[in-house]
Amino acid sequence: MSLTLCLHGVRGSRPTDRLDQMDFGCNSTCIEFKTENNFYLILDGGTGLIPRGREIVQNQKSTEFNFIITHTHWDHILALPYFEPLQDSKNTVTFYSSKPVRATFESLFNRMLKERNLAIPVEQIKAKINFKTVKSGEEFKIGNDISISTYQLNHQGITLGYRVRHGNHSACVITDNAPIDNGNYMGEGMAAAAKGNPKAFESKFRQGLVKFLANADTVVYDTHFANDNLKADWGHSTPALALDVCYEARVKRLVIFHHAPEDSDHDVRAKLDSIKDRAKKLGVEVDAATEGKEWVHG
Amino acid sequence: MGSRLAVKFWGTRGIIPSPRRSTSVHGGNTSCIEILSDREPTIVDAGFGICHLGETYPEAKPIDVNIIFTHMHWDHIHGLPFFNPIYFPASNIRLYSPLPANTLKQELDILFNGSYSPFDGIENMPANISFHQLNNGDVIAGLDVSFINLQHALGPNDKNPCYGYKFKTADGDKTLTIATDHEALPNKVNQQVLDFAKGADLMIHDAQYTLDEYQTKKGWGHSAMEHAVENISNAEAKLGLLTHHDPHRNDDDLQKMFIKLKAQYPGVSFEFAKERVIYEISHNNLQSKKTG
Repeated sequence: MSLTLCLHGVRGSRPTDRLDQMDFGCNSTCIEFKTENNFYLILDGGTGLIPRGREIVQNQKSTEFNFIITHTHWDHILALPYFEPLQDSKNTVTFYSSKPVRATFESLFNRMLKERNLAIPVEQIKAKINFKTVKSGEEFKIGNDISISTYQLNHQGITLGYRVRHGNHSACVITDNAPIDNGNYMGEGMAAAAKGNPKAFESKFRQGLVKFLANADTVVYDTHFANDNLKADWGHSTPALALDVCYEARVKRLVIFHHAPEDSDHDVRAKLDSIKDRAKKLGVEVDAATEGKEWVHG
Repeated sequence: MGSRLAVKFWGTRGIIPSPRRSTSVHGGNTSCIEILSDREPTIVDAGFGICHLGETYPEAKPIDVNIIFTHMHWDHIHGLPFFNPIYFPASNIRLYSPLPANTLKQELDILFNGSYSPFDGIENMPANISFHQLNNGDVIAGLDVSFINLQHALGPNDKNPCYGYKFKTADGDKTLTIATDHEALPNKVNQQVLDFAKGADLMIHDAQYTLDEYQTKKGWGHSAMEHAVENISNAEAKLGLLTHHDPHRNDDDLQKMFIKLKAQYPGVSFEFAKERVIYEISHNNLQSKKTG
């Protein structure tokens, strides 16, 4: 059984468009998991989804589409309404997402389809759409042999990290996620959970994340900031922080991801270089997320 | 010489950004046009192109800027929360539309909603942001501004109108019209658009589709390239710039279409709009220069 992780969008916060950013890519978050199954499994709907959607309708293998959604900030969902398979009534699209107090994914998705904002006629969205709520810590199956587990990350709302297991292989996506130390509680419910014993809460969060990622083949990790410009309360991590967690979890490969919109290719290379030596010593393979790149496991 | 009137496209793409090497000549950002006059900059629409414009403003310097909206489709507003000057307390950002000022504010507020963004409403952004209902004949940055209803989405009687704009220098010397989202149909609305743009020095026009594509996209609110060029010709505009490029269209495709259309309409002066190029209106001819 083989699990392939494929990156369609690697940029954080918003899509960009500069020639000096094209080596790594300018589209916002979209990642696909490919297996022997015909159905599609895609994480998030940033602008990387658009060229993939066109490719799929030109050579479609299945009418079943599954999306796992990390959270609903614009850069992760803005392209969903323009995903071309949504324009075919034969298709079924299922969204798996968390349910924050403030608003459900279903209501936020439907709000994007309002006539006054949607740049295509809304009646063109003809696919059957299902919405499924998943909780942090939950494990569920897609198809017979893909198992997906979740972990609430330290970011606004209820942002979910995902682990996708297929056969003996696991690929994980941790985005967006900030360091939790010293009371930097960003996720819904975290401040309340930490009340009384913040150190214990922080340690539990961190150990939980390490356990969640344990022995994974590949982990794609939000490293929006460089090691020296971290703004912890913005909800993102650095390459050094990502490496710490991945080493502790005995992860085989770390892929730094969610490149800041102002980062040039040179800046991304510098971020990768900043952890290369230490990663080598620790025995963790490291790479930088690149649009169009795939890693085949098994 | 007269007053200055020029445009610089920061976003030429329709629907959704398409950033890739094969679109880098014409650009992959959604709609944003900067209007350069003798006064402060005026921007039409805040697609993702506005983020790159925002990167050119230094934080230390107070920014004074006008943004005029054609309509509220995502591809024309989505870049606003990421426009750098909106984070600077010294910025004055004036937002305009023919919609009532309160409606404009409510419409744009969704971009800053806490479920979709790390923000807490447009009201709580650091810049001084003000909302203005535009009236025909208003003067913005020294330019006379007028507007017209376009054929977009459900058409001009829809509750969600889409506007075209005309900018004229105070001395009446230079005129520019903008219709980023308009479906050229043989109807009364289109005739009004032609009358509105009559004799403009520069006419910016929607040309998202090839004629073939248009056959399956009738009523989607965008023009076939052929119809756009015919509109430029019929309005007797001195130069036409075609914009709202389809997100799947590459530079090569546009170049091929340009050669085909040039042969088909030899008497009409037009180009496909390119990002970061300044189109400077000067007497009886239009010069373009690539910057940035």
